[in-house]
Amino acid sequence: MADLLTHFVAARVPGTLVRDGRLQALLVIGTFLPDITGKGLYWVLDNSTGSQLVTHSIAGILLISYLACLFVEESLRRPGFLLLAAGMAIHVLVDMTKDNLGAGAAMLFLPFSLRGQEFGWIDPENVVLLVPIDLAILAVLWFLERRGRRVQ
Amino acid sequence: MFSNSLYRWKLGAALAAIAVMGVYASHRGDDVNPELWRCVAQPQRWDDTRLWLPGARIVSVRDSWYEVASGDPEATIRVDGAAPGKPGDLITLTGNFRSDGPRLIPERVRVLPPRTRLRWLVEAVSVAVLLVVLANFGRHFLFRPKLLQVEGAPRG
Repeated sequence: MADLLTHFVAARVPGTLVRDGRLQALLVIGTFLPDITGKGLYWVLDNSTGSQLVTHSIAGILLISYLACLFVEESLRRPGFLLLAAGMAIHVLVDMTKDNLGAGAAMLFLPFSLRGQEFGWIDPENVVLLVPIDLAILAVLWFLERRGRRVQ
Repeated sequence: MFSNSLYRWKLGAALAAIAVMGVYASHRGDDVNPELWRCVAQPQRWDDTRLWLPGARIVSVRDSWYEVASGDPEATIRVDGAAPGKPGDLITLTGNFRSDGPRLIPERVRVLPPRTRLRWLVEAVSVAVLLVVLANFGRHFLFRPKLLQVEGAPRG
C-alpha cells in the first residue's frame, strides 16, 4: 500500500466524467482493490508473491470486480462491474509505469504466463516526488468541479 | 449474470475461482523472485535463479566484489563486480543467483537516492487517502434504515 494518492488521482481524473456519485465511488474504490484484496489474500495464503500476482492480473481484475459488484444493488451491478474493473485496470497500469529493473510490476496473463510486465518509466523511489503533483491535479479538479456546479 | 437469480451460486463461484487462482499463483509464484534468505539457505535448489532485491544495503566493499544485506529475515550475499556505492548505501538490483559462494551475478543495479528514506511520508499520505475514500464510499453505500423506511412507506 504505497502511493495510494497517485492511484487515487489516476482514477479521479476519468471519474469526473462519471455523473452518478455512487458509480464514481465504485471507480475510485476499484483502483484500491488490487492492493486491498492483495493484502486480504496475503493473510489467507501467507504468500506475498502469489497474492499480488492474482490481484494484478487481467483474470484477477475481472473475477474480483465481479465478486465486488455482487454486493451492490441489482440495478448498479452491470455499470458497477465495468467501473470497478476500470478502476483496477487503472491501478495496474499505474503500477506498471514503475521500473522494477525488468522484474515486472504485474503478471497480466496469469494463469497462462508468469512473465512480469512493466513500462519502466518511473523509478519506484521517485514516487514521493509525485505527491505535490498529485495534490496540484486534485486542486485543479476540485476547482473545475466547483465551477461546474455553480454553472448548473 | 448480474441479476439476483442464483445469487448464492454466483457468489460462491466467484469466491471459489479467486481462491483457486490464489492457490495456483502462490504455488507457481513460489519460484518467482524468491526471498534472498531462502536462496542462501538452500543454494543448490536455487542455483541459476533470477533474483530481484528491491532494497539492499551495501555491507562491505572489495576490489572485485561487494557484499549486500537484504530482506526480512536479513541475509547477506556476495555480488560480483565493482561496488556502485560505499558501505551503508542502499541499492536495488537484479541478478543471477549462483550456488558457488553463494554469489550474485548482477544484471541491473541502481543506487537508491536518500529520498527513499521518505517512504514513510508516502505511506502516511496513503493511509489518509484510504480513510477519505472509504468514508466517501460509506456515504454512498452504507445501509440507511431510516431513509429506506421513508422510501418504502406506502404513498397517499
